[in-house]
Amino acid sequence: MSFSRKRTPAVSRRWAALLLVPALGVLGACGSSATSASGGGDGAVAAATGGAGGGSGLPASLQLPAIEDLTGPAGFAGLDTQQGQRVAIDQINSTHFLGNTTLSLKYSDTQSTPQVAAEEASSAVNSSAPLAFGPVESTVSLAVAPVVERGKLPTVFTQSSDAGVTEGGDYTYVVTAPYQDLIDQTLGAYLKAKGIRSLGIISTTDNPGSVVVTQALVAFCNQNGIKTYVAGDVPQTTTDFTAIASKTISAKPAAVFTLLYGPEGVTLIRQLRADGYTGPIVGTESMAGGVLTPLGSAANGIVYFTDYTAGLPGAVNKTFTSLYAKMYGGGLPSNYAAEGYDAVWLAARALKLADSTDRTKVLAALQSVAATGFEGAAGDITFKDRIEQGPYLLVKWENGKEVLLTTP
Amino acid sequence: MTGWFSGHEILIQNTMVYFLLALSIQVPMRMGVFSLGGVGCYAIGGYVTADLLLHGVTGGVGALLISAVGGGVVGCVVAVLVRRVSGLYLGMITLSFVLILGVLAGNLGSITGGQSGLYGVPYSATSLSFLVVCLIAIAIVAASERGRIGRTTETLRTDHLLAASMGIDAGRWQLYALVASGVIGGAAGAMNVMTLGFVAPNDAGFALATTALTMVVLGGRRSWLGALIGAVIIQLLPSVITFLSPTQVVVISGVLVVVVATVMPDGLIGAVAIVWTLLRRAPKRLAGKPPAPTPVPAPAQGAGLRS
Amino acid sequence: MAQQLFNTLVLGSIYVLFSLGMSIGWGVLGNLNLAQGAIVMFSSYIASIVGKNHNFPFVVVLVIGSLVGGVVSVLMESVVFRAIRRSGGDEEELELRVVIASIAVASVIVALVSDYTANNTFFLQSNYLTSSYHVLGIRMTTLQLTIVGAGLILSGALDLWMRRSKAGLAVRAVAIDPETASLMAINERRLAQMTMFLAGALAGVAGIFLIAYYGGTTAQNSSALLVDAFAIIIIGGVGSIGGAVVGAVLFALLETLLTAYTSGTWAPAVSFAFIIVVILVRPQGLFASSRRKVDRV
Repeated sequence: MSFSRKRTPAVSRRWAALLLVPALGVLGACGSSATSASGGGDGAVAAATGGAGGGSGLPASLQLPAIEDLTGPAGFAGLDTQQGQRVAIDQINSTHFLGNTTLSLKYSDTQSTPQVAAEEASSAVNSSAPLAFGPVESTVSLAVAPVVERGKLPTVFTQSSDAGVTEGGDYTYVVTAPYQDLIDQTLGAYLKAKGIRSLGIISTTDNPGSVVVTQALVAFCNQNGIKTYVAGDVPQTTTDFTAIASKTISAKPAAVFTLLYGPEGVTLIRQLRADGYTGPIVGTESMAGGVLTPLGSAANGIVYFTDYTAGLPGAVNKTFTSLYAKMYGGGLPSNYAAEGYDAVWLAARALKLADSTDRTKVLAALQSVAATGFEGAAGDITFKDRIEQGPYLLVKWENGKEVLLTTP
Repeated sequence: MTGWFSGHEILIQNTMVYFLLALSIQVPMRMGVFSLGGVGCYAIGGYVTADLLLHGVTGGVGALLISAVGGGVVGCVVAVLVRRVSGLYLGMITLSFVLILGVLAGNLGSITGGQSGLYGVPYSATSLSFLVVCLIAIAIVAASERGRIGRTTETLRTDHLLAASMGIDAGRWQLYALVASGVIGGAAGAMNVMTLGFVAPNDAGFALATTALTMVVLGGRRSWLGALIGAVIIQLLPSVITFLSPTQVVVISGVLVVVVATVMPDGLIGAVAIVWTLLRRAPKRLAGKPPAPTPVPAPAQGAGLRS
Repeated sequence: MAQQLFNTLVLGSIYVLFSLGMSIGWGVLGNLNLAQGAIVMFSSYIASIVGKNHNFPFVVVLVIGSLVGGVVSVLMESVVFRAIRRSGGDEEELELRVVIASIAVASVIVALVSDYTANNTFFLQSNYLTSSYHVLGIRMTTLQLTIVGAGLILSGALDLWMRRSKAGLAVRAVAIDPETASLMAINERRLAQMTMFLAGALAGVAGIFLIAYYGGTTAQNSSALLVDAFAIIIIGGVGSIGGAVVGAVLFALLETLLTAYTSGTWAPAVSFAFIIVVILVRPQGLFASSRRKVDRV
């Protein structure tokens, strides 16, 4: 039953509402300039308060924008990266790596959303910061890359495996090893060594990274005479594992590769074993970080590739892992944290070399550091086309721990 | 102030895009047609524009026009299919349509770039051109809120029995609404790609549809102003209210939407208008005079409504 | 093949528990509660933190989950939905406002849990009911059997209650004609709360089974089943319990077959297409019931 309500005349409604819009706009503008004026909002204020950093070209206090996926679906990776970044910042400042300059990061959360990320990137470009850090999720990074490219702001990303991130130009760097090489040199080598002639592949459809991995793996197999059987693509949030598992097993592959991570990945592995599959199961670094723990001993022997593991030898990694444990009360860093750590160190080295906050000089310094390479938590880091090359590691899950299978 | 604008150019462009997206939902909702088809046309417009610009077939303006027209065509097709459906069912059917588009986008690799979407689209947005598009849209929609058309849509929303008895063909108006929704949605999608430089299956997803709906309910569905206010609150404000964490922003806007949906069926502009009227009438009340009865604008009698 | 069928049955039972709650809320009260997914996730989250350092028997966990789900659902009804329904206005407009409000509540719940868990997976304290049997060449775990059993028993009980008990009769009366029902001294408010409590409790049970079956879940996992549930309700007919059961099984079967014989990426499109086809061709679903009028222009 509907009774028309007494309606206010249309004219007064319009006037009232028209007041609301500019009011909100002014509120927004004032709110923003207030926060930026109160210090630390943009690199502008921070750099301006600089001046003599002990004779060096860097100000006494330097703040860099860090655009990171801290919430939303990619949040778990973004938060880990942030942890690694914080360890690096702390170390740089306490060892006075940049002389009298104190380095800090100002985080803005992309909420794993491209629109917000593009806006944050735009703000970063308009600040006077010489360098910025980019997000982990490919689709989000794809929104950041063109903005920083146009704005000529050197930006260092982690993860972000989509080629589009670095294709645009010179200003984007990615501190994560590319999937094709990872697969060729680790997983591929493993499959060949074990004499695997057929591989069942269970891939996910949700994100560009998965597509890249699947394509890389299939390409490798085709080149090396390994038959592949792609049982089908499933969304990461799939609720039906039995069909996929049965389909995969029915092709009788010698090994199974799965891209599903998190709880869905665990359920899939359980399903595969329950359906009687006893062969090797291999995966990607998304199986790291204790994801396999709920499987208990059923997870023993699962192999996956990664570009970092806490057990890596190397002086820098030893320092990193111990600093990390101190900062976060024990616990081992994940590959995301290591990438964050190495990304900050790349930036710091570039800043030290450039000894200036001029973006062109910093870019040149970045290119120089990348060309020479340096030792990071992940070992010896070199770059090609601004993408990190290696390390290429294969690890095995054994009794609740990652065990390194190949040496970098 | 101007420094703020140039530093937040992308934010403003995104807000305009979201305003148009909300408008594509608001226009049909104004006459009681709950359709999310505009979001589908947003996705189509986005992919069409990306393909056109990547292959250099047209410039930004051309892509925008083609997307808008294409959106209108799609809206027309959808309208014909759902001619006999209304209410929540219409909303759900159009939602399914949007979600199917998302699946198609993820699967048709050659046209849509599959899961990765299409990226590297040359940046062709200017705030001025976006503003012009928005102003044109506002002018047309605002004009339709007045006069005969305005009264017809009011009647359709509040009382379709009455509308039917006056000979208003609700089916035809539903068609107009869905076509308009498609045109606006298509334009919004085109503009989005021109700003961000890429399009992906997420642009046809559940999350985007609910965001569009929320903007309209929050701002108020009676007028284009509601779409604008909704877009400003949802898209613009969170980026400038930096003292709150994103989680807090989500919680506050969620609570706000619940409050608005519960006690303010006409959205925020409705509430503001009510307060305004009360304030205007307060002096009379205080003086002891009984307030003059507010004329209830009934649908105009006689000629004019037959259409 | 038989194994596939059994697995479909398990999946279908989970869908039933999820959809039944939404169906009765919508059919009886006109509350299309799109926060159902968030309630499912929230119930499992609370169960996981309450049981953190204890080792409750599975029944206890189920009870916790259903209580949490029921309470959240009743709160939404008493605070939000009821106010909307009573504010007058077009029936369609009211439904829309309820939907919007439920979406907003869902976003708040998801944001909060997302924050507290930092978007990491959360689990139940232990792996429940994992012993497995082989019957007629089909492998079954106790958990799977429990899920199927729960699905059958709960939907059967609900149906019986609706048809035989006084309260159930009252609920159906309210669904068909609230005004006349109120003349019969039926306390509409109480009934509405009871209905939503049941809807929420079913969601809670579904949540516990989901987290136990998959070994864990995340805050983001709440909307995945929503559209599926909607498809099931539309297929079976809103408010119809039998319809929901049949719809759920059919839907699960369709998904399984599609995944088995084609690439899984097209599977979601088919469920959406299903919704469109059913609404266009037979909007009242397979088992039409309750007061859901089919809106014709």
